[in-house]
Parts: sequence; structure tokens; C-alpha cells
Amino acid sequence: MAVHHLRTPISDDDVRKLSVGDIVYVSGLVVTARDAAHRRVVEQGTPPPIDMKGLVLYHAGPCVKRTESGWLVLSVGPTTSARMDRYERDFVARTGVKLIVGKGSMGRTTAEAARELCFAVTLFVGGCGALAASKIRRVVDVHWLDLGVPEALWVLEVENFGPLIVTIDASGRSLWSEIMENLSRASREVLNDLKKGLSVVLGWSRR
Amino acid sequence: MIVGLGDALRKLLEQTVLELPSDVLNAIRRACEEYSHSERVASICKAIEENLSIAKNQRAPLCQDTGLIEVFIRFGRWLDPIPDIIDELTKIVASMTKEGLFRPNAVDPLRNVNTGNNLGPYTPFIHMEYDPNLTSDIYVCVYLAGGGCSALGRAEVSPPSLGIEALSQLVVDTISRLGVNACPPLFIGIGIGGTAEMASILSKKALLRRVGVHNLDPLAAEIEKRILDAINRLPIGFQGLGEGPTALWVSLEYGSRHPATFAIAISVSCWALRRRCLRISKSGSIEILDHI
Repeated sequence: MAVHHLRTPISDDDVRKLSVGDIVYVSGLVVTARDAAHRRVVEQGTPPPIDMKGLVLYHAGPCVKRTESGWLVLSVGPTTSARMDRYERDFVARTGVKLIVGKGSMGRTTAEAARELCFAVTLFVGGCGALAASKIRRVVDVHWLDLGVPEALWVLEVENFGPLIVTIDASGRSLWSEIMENLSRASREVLNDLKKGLSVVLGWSRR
Repeated sequence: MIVGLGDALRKLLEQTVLELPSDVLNAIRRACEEYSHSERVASICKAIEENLSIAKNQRAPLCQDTGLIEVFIRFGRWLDPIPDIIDELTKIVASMTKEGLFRPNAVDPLRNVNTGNNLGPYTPFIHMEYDPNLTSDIYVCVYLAGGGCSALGRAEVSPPSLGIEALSQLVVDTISRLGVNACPPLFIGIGIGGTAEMASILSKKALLRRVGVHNLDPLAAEIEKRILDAINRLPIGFQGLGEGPTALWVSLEYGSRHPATFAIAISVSCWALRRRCLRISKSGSIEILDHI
């Protein structure tokens, strides 16, 4: 398990060094985008308001406060990446982001896209919004606030944002496909045992 | 209005956003200790601990998804303060949203427009329950329902003959298909009743109960244990990465079913189970409780 320190703009060579299970800390520019921003780019074909080539895409929507000197992000942990699965190939193709940060699983289409378009998917520990916010040096900008605070594109300058655990690498290997396979195998037996166990407990056993 | 009610409600909401209840924190720490040999679990647990201390010290929401706000009010013979409680709570929610302590999460589902202040129709969602044993106390519990784990909520009504099989299926299917996305290790609430909404409310109410305390009915307690054991055989673990426990606790609440129905529901919480209660007494004392 290697530990990598990356700085944006991230190159294809940087991404190819990352393997599933590795830890990454990233510095530079991170852009948040979740469901509505993905739909705007992919379905409506609206070009992103900033050049995202080589930057980090963060599946997140922050808690923010507006102060006299600008926006303050209080908390910004990851949201569930699976919701972005259906848009991700096109979103990456149109924006050129090189590293995705989120939480939970992403599917086969995204893993295949990671190989073709050379990017990696990572996980930041879900629920750790205050820790993530502590890695922000400044809020550079915000776009598409009409989508609401959680869904807007927040451009954040971060320092040593991590630990990020690589779950899909640019070879197309996915930790998630391995985990989901194990799960579906285990779940059949677990279900049968639970049905039997509960029937016995409640005296519902069939003769 | 009761003296200090507004301050107490604000403190209740702030503490809920900034700090985990003690029973929840203890359950997480126990799991972290048990799996400290795993490098990955250790690094996740370190992030969790760092996060909790930053949240508390910097007064930053421990998770940015401060959820939709659900309120459970339990009252008895003393009712007078209830309207004040609800009005006050609503005002505080809006002002805490402005301060960045709540993320604006209330979205008009027909127009896709965020209301910006966490208020809207049935929002905060308020559930009231009469308890004839309460003479001079009111309990106000808040639960912050984050999106990632709320996405796992399910209810269905099955024929009574298939009830327990349907319950097993609902739980195992839901957790094995979607558990990795709900920020595990999880806390799981199960409800059984006569209709879908009865079961749903009970499944959420189950999550208000102290972690580590089983249902007082030994049969219900046995079901809780069996379900917890079953779920922990699913290799999900911390953050879905396959190491450590999948669930930290299962609570079940049940009501009567109809002769023709067996309604079941599941509510799931991420590891950051954020709920707290206020006990307001007629004598004037107001106390914050981590659980009921």
C-alpha cells in the first residue's frame, strides 16, 4: 500500500502510478459537483464554467456560511458516488478531471471509463466533513448557485486533502466489483440462515 | 413561553450537529479497537476521531449532510408548551442554516428548487406521540436524516404467513445491495406493524433508543440479536471496504398488525447517528439526553 502526494494539475502519468488500495493526499484545486451539476453538463450539454482539466472532482455539497470576506466552508465530506455513476464517463470526457473523490461504490461503466480516459476514483471517509473542511486553504469561487448550495460547483483550494483510498485505478481494476461479488455470494446463505433462525425463534417453523 | 426554552432547543440542535451521542461514540470506538490490527480500519478510525475533535473544537458540523430534520415529541397530560416548542424549533433551524450549522437540504420535489432554509411543507417533519405515563414531562427528540443512509429506507406490506421471511429478505437485500453506500458501520432500525407508515415510523423510532439496549420484549430482543449477527456476516465493514463490522446495533419496535397484513420497514443510519432528546419538565428544569 503506497502513499502518494499529488498536486493539481494531475497528469496521466501521476494517475497511472495509483493502484487500488493506495493512499493519496492531494493539494491544489478541487471542484465539487453532484447530481444536478452532472446532469447540467452531461444531459443539457452546458460547458462547465471553469477549465477542470487535471483537477479533482469531489462528490460533495458543503455546509457554508457567507461572511464579509467571502464564503466559509464549515463542513464538506463526500456524498454517495453511486448516484453519479450514470453520468461519470461523459462528465470526465467533457471536463478532463483526473481524480474523483467520493464515498461508496461506483460501477463497471465507471471502472471501464477509468481505463479508457485515465482517471482514478478514491474514497474519503464519509461523515468526516469537518476534517475535510480543515484541509481547505480558501474558497476560490462558486458557480451555479442557482442549483442550491449543496449542488453548486464549489472551487476549493486544498492542502494535503486526504487520506483518500484508491478504489478504482486507471487499469480499470475496481475494489467495488470484488466487494459486490463477495457480498452477493454471502447474502444468499445469510438470508437462508436468517429466515430459518427467525422462524424457529417465533415458532413459525414449517413442518 | 417556558424560561430558557429557546436556548435549550438551540443547544439541543447544535450539540446534535456537532457531537455524537455517547452511546453511538462508544459503539464506534469499541469496533475501532476490535479491528485496530487492520491498517485500513485504523486509518479510517483515525479520520473519524480527528473529525470529531475538529467538529467540536471549531464548531463545524461533524458531517456536512445535516439531513432533513425529524422531530419526535412525546407528551402526556401536560401539553401547553408544544406549540412554542415547534415554533421555536422552526425558527432556530432557519437561523442555524444561515450560520452554516445546517446545510440547506429542503428541496421542493416538484420544482427541484432548494428552499434555502430547511423549511418547507412538513419540514421539519414532526411526529407526536401520547404517553399516558407522562404527567409533567415532555420529550423532544431530534433526528438528522442524512441522504446517504436515508436512501436505504424501505417499507412493505406482506401477507402474515410470509411476514418473517419477508422481513429477513428486506433486511438482507437492502443491506447487501446498498449498505456500502450508507457510510457503514451502520445502525439499523426495524419496524413491524399493520400498515406501511406505522412500520416506517416505528423503524425510525427504534433508532432513538440507546445503542446497546435491547427491546424489553425478549422475543423482539432475540430478533434484534439474530438480525445483527446475520448482517455482520455480510462482508461490508468500515466504509464498505470489507473490513470490520457492517452494523453496530439493530433495534426493533413493533405495533399490532392487522389480521390480513404484516407491514415491515427498515431505517438505516450511518455511523454518524445524530439524534438527541430534550426532557422538559413542568417544574422548569430542561435537560439534554443522548437517547431515550
